[in-house]
Amino acid sequence: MTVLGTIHVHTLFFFLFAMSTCGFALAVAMTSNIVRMAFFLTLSLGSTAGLFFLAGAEFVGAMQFMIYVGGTLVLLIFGVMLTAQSRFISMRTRAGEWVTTLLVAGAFLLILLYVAWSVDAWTAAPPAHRAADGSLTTQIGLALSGVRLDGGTGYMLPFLVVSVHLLVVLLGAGYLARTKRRNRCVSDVHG
Amino acid sequence: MLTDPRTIAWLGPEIVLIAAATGIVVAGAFLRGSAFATMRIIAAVSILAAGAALRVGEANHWMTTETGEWTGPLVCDPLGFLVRHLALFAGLLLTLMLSRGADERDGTETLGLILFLTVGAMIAARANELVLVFLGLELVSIPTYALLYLGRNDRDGSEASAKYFFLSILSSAFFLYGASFLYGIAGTTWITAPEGIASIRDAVSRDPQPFAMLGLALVVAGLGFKLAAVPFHFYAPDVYQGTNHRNAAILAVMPKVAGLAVLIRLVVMGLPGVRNEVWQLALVLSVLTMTVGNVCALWQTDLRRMMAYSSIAHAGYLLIGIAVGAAAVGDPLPYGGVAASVYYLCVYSVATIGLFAALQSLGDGSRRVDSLDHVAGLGVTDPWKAAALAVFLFSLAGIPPLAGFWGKLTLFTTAIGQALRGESSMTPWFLGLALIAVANATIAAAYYLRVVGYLYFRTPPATSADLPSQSGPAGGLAAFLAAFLAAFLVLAIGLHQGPLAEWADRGERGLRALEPPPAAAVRATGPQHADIADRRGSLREPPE
Repeated sequence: MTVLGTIHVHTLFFFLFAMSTCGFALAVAMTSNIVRMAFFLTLSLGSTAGLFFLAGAEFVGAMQFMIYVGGTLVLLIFGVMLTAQSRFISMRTRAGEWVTTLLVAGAFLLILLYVAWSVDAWTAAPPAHRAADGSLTTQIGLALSGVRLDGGTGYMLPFLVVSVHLLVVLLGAGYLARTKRRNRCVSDVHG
Repeated sequence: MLTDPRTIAWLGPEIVLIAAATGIVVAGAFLRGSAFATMRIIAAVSILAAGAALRVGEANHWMTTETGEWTGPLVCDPLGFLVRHLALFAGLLLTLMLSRGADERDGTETLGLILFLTVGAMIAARANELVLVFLGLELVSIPTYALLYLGRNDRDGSEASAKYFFLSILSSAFFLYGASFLYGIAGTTWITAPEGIASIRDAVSRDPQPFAMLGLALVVAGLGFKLAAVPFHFYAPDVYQGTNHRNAAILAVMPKVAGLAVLIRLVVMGLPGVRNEVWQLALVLSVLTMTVGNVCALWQTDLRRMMAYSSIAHAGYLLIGIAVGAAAVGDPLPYGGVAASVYYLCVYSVATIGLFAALQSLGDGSRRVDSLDHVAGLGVTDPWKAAALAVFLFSLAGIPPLAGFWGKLTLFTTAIGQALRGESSMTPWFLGLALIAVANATIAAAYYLRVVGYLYFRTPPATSADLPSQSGPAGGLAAFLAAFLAAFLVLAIGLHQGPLAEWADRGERGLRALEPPPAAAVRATGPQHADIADRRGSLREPPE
């Protein structure tokens, strides 16, 4: 009891998720096998979802799981599996590329750290922890259908524009699938 | 609070276009083959109808007032009015310039996608909310990916579409990352808002913390890609060269229209709190962009590659206006940087689309006109199209009295004006900017005039197989019509630049009316200014 009592569970989980997010993100950059990269990315994004849950943003956390871990990454892994050719499976990075990457990424990391430490509110004492409840999700759902209770205008219009995007994407995807078939017919005729 | 009904009413033209585009795409699935000509007419008519809806809906409004209206997600102001007209006109020219042979097979999809991306540019032109801004920009980009893929099916074409796709996604990620910082600072997605309502502009002005600068840098990086400004220009030459004239025209114009409008609204007007960083960034980008673009264009022999570098250089000129506009935000004096930039955008867009339309009309369907040699001696073999090409090239080079000259003149004079009027620390910077811009205009004249030299002072290729243009309208009578329309407009704006300049000016004044008036300036001015201040006051009532 004495040992457990001194450990703040929230903080413990924060460090756990933060470390695994950063660690697996690094692993994505370090490994050269594309399937492993996809797997490490899954773990990194899953840990990010954990951070969102800890922050009380349970809706964003769930979306992170459903969209990234559930949708995008499964698609990515299937894409890799279906198109896997030995020369694309493993990506060798040359020393020069490592140096440039380290310089750019390192500089950006330094800027981010500097900026993060410059926010006064973040170096002060942490605010009281707010427990996650379902009302946030209700508010987001209402805002997406154009109703906002806290004074702003909802997100009806962006939501509609997104549906136009989806139409365009469907069109492009349909065309991609169709040309493949036509090309194959042509090559069949010639072959 | 529900969505303001005016928001929907203002979207009339966009709704017309989306309905037409959806109809064309769906009908095209059933009417293969012969439907292209009809569909093209439907698309052109729907663009004209959208233009009419725009005029009916808003023109009366602008007769009586200069200032805009605000509903949250959208701002209805003269700048949006002008840029939406430009997007519609560009969409009309692009619809006309589809070639008969190559584009006919996928004609309905192509037409639908062009209408969609016109809508994207129109949304981006007056979105006042980060989410809507991003969606508008993406509605320009996503159809472009599909169009690049539809354009050419060879190896170069695939390389061009893949390159554009990946780099464009990267730039969208930059923009979103930056936008998320801005949202984090303000806690709202609204860029500007009436007093008493939280907005990004207020939050950043109140407390310009390092986060705002980080957000600014990332947003500018994302928009720099749309404009093809220099550190983000790498895709342009290869992509333009690897695709066809129509796609090159889209790439050269539509992302720039949307990107510049967003740059003005979000960066110049939305972040006055970090205005010093904004003008310094825009100034450096401008100098780099125009110099690299113009110098690299000098030794190109492929026409589209040359035009790619030329479009990079013109992005540099556009950024001059942004730098001046940002440096003068909050300045009570009239400044005109934003107006000059918008004016130049209109002039550049018309001339560039016209140039590609003229090149398109030269082709005979089976072969394209790609390199300088292909247009040699065109002045003899096809004098009308050569004349149209020459008009566009002279305008882009900035030869008086064509439209491009007035555009450049306005930009350079605003830079000098800012050097003379602005804070003394700005003077050397803006004088240097004006000098470099003038030097660049001279370099640019060299490569544009070289093409004119090929048109008129080279003998045409001897064998008929090498002739760039065959008799008959196979390359597209409609493309020639588009080129003719654009050439007419370039001449008309050049000879009578008043109306467009006035609208560009009103665009800037409308933006400034939405910004909080500097208290000292209002007190110091006479009664008619107090009247304007009153109207501003009434405008900033929150909509119910």
